[in-house]
Amino acid sequence: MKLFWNTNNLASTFWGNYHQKNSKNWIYELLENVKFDEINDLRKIESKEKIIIVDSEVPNKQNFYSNIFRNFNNLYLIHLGDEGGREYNEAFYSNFKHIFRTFHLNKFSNNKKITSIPIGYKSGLIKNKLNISKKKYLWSFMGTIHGASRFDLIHQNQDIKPNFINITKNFGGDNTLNSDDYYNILNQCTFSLVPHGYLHPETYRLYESLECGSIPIIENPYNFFDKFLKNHPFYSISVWSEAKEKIENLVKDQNKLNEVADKTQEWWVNYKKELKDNIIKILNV
Amino acid sequence: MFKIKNFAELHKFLDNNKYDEANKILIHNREKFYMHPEYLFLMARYLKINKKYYQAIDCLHAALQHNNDLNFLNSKNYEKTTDELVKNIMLLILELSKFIKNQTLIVETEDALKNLDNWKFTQKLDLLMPGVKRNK
Repeated sequence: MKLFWNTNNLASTFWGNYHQKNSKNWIYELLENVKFDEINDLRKIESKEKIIIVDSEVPNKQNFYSNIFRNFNNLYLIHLGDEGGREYNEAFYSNFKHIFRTFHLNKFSNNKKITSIPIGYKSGLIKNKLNISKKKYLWSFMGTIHGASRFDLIHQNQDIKPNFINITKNFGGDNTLNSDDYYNILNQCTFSLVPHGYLHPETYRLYESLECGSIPIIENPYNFFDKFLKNHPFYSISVWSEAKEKIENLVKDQNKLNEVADKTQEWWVNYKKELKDNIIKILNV
Repeated sequence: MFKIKNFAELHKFLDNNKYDEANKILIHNREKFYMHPEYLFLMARYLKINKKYYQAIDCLHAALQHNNDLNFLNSKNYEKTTDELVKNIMLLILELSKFIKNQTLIVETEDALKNLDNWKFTQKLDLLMPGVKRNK
């Protein structure tokens, strides 16, 4: 099996470069039980070879895909990005044996060729996860204030200290922490407050928090996560004033806090294992 | 209060708990009017009913931004909305602010309603929630 990473091959775009730099570790983790060679050139590959193409912004790459569809018939796509679901195209997807894609929407559930995957975490995770009792901050928020939810998140919880708040003007903007600093802070947080993304309920922050052993408290519009991440153990809120009480109650009870942290980690490990097993099954390797 | 006839009807549907009918009108008018202050106000009412409080506040914030930008309104061939609707937009922000218990928003909105100054209020919201931007 071959893997061709195409997010930034044809043009240098923000998201193409972003996925090349930041999505590889997550995708490679999902494929860790799949034997594949990453290739940089499709010209010497036999037409019957199984190929996983990892890509983003696919509507801008029509010529590339026209050639690919002419020459190969055993294709799988890992479709990254597309927060608004605008790149969903059944005719395009019909050229692949199966599609794994991020930013789940209900309409994908009706297409048996699509498996939704979490958007995952940015590359650069630190190796030594701190135990929940050793974490320096109670909670953190690092990111942009899009609108009312994030403004209220900070407003309602800023008195819960110690905390770490770093507000950036835009995604990946000027005072964004580098990945070492970002993960170092996240690793030191008992809780992580996870608001809705820009358009979609998912944000990288959720999965990054899970990787760092921080307990996520999530905004869960339309109960999205109850359907997408089945049996998740997260605390969810409908308005951010509810988070304060949850944090304060857990902090008072160290045993309960440890129990919640352990249960969250156990769920995440099992969730990833099931997803990886499912990917192997679909790829039939 | 509304300059667009369909929207007066939609407003009545929301008043009378006829949410399916209201949703049909919202969907029907989305493409043409999704940035229109009247449409955004009604969308916010619909979102509030569906307990999407933050998205509702974002819609109302955008409604004020758009209504205060004559160049934007002209570019979309939209008319500036009535003072009555602007007041209702601010009252709904106040109601939602109380629901989420955000004291800063409550105080700012009450002040703006007292002074009837939605322009300064919009600027204040832009500072507090700088991410609500429109695609012109």
